[in-house]
Amino acid sequence: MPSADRRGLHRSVAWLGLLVLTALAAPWLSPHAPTAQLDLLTLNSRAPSCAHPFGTDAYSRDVFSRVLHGARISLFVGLAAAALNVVLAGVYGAGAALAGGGVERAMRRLLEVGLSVPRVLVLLAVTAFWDQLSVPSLVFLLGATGWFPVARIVADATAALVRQDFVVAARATGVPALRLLRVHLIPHLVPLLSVSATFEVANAIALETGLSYLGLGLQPPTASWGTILHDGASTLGTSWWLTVFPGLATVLTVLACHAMGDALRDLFAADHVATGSTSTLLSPVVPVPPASRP
Amino acid sequence: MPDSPLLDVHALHIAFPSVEGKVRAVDGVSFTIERGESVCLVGESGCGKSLTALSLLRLVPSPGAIEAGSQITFDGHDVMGMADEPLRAMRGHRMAMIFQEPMTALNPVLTVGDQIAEVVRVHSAATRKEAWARAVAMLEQVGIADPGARATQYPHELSGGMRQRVMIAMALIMGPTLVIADEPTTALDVTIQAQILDLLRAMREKTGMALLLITHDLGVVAEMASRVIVMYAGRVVEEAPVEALFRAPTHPYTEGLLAAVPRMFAEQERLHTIPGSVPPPDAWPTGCKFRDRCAYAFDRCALEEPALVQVASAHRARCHLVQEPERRHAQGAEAGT
Repeated sequence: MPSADRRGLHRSVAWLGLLVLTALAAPWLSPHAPTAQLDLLTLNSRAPSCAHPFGTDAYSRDVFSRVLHGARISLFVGLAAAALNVVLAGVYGAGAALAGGGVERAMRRLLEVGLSVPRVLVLLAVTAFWDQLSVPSLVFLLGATGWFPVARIVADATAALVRQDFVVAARATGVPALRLLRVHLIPHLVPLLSVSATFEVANAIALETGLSYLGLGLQPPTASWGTILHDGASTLGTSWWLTVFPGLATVLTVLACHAMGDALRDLFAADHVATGSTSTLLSPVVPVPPASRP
Repeated sequence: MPDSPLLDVHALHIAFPSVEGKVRAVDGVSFTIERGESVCLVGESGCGKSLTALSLLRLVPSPGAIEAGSQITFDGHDVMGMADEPLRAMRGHRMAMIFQEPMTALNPVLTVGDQIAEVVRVHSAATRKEAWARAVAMLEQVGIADPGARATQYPHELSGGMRQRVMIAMALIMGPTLVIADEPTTALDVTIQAQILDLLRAMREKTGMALLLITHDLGVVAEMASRVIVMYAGRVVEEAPVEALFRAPTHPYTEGLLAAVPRMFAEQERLHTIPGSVPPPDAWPTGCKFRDRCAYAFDRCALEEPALVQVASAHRARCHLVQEPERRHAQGAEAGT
């Protein structure tokens, strides 16, 4: 891996690691509770200072504490939505490829219907009518709308896998379907799924932030990066700190996830080459057997 | 039932859907294999021999399918009518297959020991330890030195010959009555080839298993077969005991195959070849499928596809020349040997 990429990977991992630690330790790290209105008279919309590194908002809440707690929500939403995504995509995609024939065709058609509907529009439409969206509901919504592209990739990869000689050979030795899936197919799908999952985390975080910023996602007084952005939207000229800090946090996190996803993908591909194996670890292209034939 | 054959294939048809409708890759193949017999299935690439082998385990890759009317009876059981679970139980246990390319036929992310042990665990109640021990023992039987250490290695860490031995171990570990070997030596060096064939022969003597060996190499046929089935364009064109086939081939295709083998002590300037190439399934000629490449083709050959007729005891050929032997002279085309 070129050194520039490696540095990027290290920085991403460092940032994400920091984020996870912060999120876990938020209750202890934040100087104040995220919804505590400290002093409506004197601490109203104060610029960043030593006492309040990220300033205060219109309700005199400490923005630093809010951002720290926002990390918890963003991370949770990102990871949970990505997990739901990957599970749905994996089950549906692999199931379709293994079913084969007419069932597979029908399932792929349904997938195309899902793919043709723009995710953002669906989310906007649903959240507009949903009062008091809770975090679990948001996770469910994000997970349920984002699995279509990954499912298609999984279906293609599984279909190619099933045609591999070693899968046919395993079936020829009488390996039952469930064991075939667990022992022979899933290990070859893990790289694909983990790279997809990493990018999904980035998508979910960006979407949650975006929806909450528009006022459609999580609602105040919940402190997520999106809701802080929402609070600061109308006062961007005067209370810039309400936009800059959560915005920066979101951008850095999404970038870090992307960098990590790229690095993972390179890692798996390099693995593939290094062992000289003809496995289909990441690319579903059927490998060419070694040219030992006359 | 000691009299009935171990394997009885009757009117096997395998078809693939295509733009112009169904195309038959295997067109009415019938043969039997007795218990403990060693049969070779010979033919060029594309004649349908691998598909025939896969069909015995009902593993024909989709969209291909075995057509209705095909009958496969193994050890008294109807394979075509078998439910999923008995079929799965049969595969790898009573009927096993050795694949052609050991590198791609082994899972690259599992150790070879795990893969052999898996066969045991799938077909018996053995624990992980027991299955592992049996796998190591089997590796030793197939001639792998230091089997305990080898079993913990991955396929890419082994040489081609060793991988093929691993495949043989996987196929034989549950003591099948029929082993199908699909060109097991094609991907190997000639010296390793000889070792693998010796191994197969030794295992046969030891276990009394029947062997269906698919190959395009007549040298392998001479070494291993007691009976030979020759396939061309999805059909059986000749079947005979091995000495009869080599001494007195009847079908022009078999003649051509034998003539094409380079001889060490004969003076040859050019190697004999069969002109033309195997037509694809959607372009088979009317009448006899071999007539476009046959030196002896005459008018009847274009009109009527020959049936498989008796030449001698246990020797049959699909050629009009059997009934009209006076026609066996070159019709202006390149003559046989």
